[in-house]
Order: sequence, then structure tokens, then C-alpha cells
Amino acid sequence: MKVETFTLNTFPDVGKTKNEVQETGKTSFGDVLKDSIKKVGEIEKEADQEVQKLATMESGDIVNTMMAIEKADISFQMMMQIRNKIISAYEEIMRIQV
Amino acid sequence: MDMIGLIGKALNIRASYHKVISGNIANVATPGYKEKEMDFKKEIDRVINSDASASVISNGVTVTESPENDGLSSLDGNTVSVENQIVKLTENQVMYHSLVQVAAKRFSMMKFLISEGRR
Amino acid sequence: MGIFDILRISSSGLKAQRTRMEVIAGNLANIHTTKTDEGGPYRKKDVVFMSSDVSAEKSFGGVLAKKIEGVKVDSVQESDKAFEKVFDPNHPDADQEGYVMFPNVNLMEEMTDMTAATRAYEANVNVMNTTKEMLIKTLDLIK
Repeated sequence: MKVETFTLNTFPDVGKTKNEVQETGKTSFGDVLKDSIKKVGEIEKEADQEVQKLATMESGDIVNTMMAIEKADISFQMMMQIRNKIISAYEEIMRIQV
Repeated sequence: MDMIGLIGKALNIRASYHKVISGNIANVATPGYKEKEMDFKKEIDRVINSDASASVISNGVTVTESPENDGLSSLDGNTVSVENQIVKLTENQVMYHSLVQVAAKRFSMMKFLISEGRR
Repeated sequence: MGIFDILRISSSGLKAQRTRMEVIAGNLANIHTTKTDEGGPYRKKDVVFMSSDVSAEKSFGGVLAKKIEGVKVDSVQESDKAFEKVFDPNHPDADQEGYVMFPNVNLMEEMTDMTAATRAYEANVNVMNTTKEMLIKTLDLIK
């Protein structure tokens, strides 16, 4: 199992959003969020499976389980921060007086 | 599958296992004492789908006498192999620590979620 | 090889060294024993160690060219060294010429052997402690 470095490239849609927001409005924010949530969900499911294997002693391999859990944690935190930034960017835009 | 619940059940069984092992170690010099063991995989399979409370789980474990397998018999009928028990104790301890750490990590992630990531 | 097999290897070492100590203790206790059940003086005993597979699960051979193994006591054998002949006609076990056969146990050899067994035992305990620390440190990954 590789521990990938998490850069913004993991969430390629984020870069696109900044350009598209004036044209399409709210839709791209939702798409970006949904996409990143789905990816994080898959990583979390993997971590859950590792934890289950650990608890039932199907695999005594602690190292893999710890790596999977930390990977899920980091990607989850990253997603939260991106979500916060997106929402505050959205709110700022909505505050613009027309 | 509820991870926190599963971890809780596994911790309960590991605590019972610990009692069995430390009982063996305490009786390492008792004449006629037969070493006892518990099948962890069997116990966790038993409780994985049940909704039993913690005390039911930890008291319902099956403890059997281990078969003699070493050929190192003792003059007084004691069958405790202290080295094996130390290995089992270490393994149980490490796994217990791991499960506690994993559960703590889960909780801290939930707290992070609740606070919306703003510290 | 499971992650806890390291502990099983060390514990096999502990068991083997403990058996060795038992044999040494028997040799030293009987260092002046001139009469045994089989007749004749006590014969010094030696342990023979053999490497053995200690894994919990059956490993399917081909993965590792050289399997990493623990140790076990293969047998306890009696030494063929000659007995010590001591001239003592007043001893109850003296033969017609007045010689008594004493065990072929050498005190210095046994003491050296005992030190070696103790050091080996300590080394195995060190391995177990270090391994346990390593495993617990792995948990720091998710602190």
C-alpha cells in the first residue's frame, strides 16, 4: 500500500472551480464537494476493512492497519479544509453587491 | 459494520484473555496445575453479531485446558509453559493497545467533524 | 511470517536455554554421585539443540528460500567421556583394587556452560523486549 502525498492535484476539480464560478454559479461547488467526498469515502471504507481485520484477528498486521487509518484521517482532514475554503469563498462571492 | 462497537467487543474479549494468561503465569509453580487457554478467534466470531452487554461477553468465554505439546513434562504435574504464556501476553497487550489507539483515533476524527475542522 | 512470530522465535530460545540450565543443574547436583539405578557412577548429560519452525500458521515453503527458524531441544544425550578414577579403598563403592569411579562431570566446564546459557537467555529476553517496544511504537503512527 502506497501512502500518496496529498497535494491539490488529488482534487483536480478544485482548480477548475475558481475559473468556472462566475459562469455556472453554485453547481460546480456541489460537484467538487461530491467528488472529493466520494474519494474520501472509499479511503475510509478501506481503513474500516483493515480495522475489522485487526479486531477479529484475521490479520495480525498492525503496520498496514495504522497506515490505512492515518491515510484516511489525512484525506478526511484535507477534504474538510477544502470544504471550508470552498464555502467561505462561496459566501464571500455571495456577499458581492450587484 | 459498527467499528466502535466491534472494537469494544474485541477489547472485552482481550481483557478476558488477559485474565486467563495471568492466571497461568501466577500458577507457574503450582503442583498439578494444568495450563488453560482460550480460542480468541472463536470467541470474537461468537460475539461479532450478538448485541450482548460487556459483562455477558467477558463472562461467557470458554476456557479449556491446553493439550500437552512440548514433551517437557514437569515433576509435579504442572503444565504451564511460561515462555509461551509470555508470548501470548505480549501479543494480547500489543493488540489491546492497538485497538484502544484505533478507537481513540476514531473519536478524535468525530470530534474534528463536529467542530467542522475549525480549531 | 506473522508479525508476532519474532516473539515465538525468542521464546523458543528461552525454552531451549532453560532446558540446558536444567541439565547443567542435574550435572552439578550429581557431581559426586557414584551410584545410579543403572549401576556405576552418574554420566554427564548434554543437550543437543536443533533449529525448528515455530510459525503459528503453516508457511508455504517457496516464499522464503531460507526459512527463519527457532530452536528446540532435539535430545539429551549422555557423554562418552571416561569416568574419573580415584584411589580410595575405604569408599563403600571401591572396587577390588581400591579405585572409585566418579562422574565425568567437570565443575569448570559446567560453570562456563551455565554462564553461556545465562547470557543466551538474557539475549533472547532483550530481543523480546525490543520487539515489544517496536510494536507499541508502531501505534504512534496514528497518534
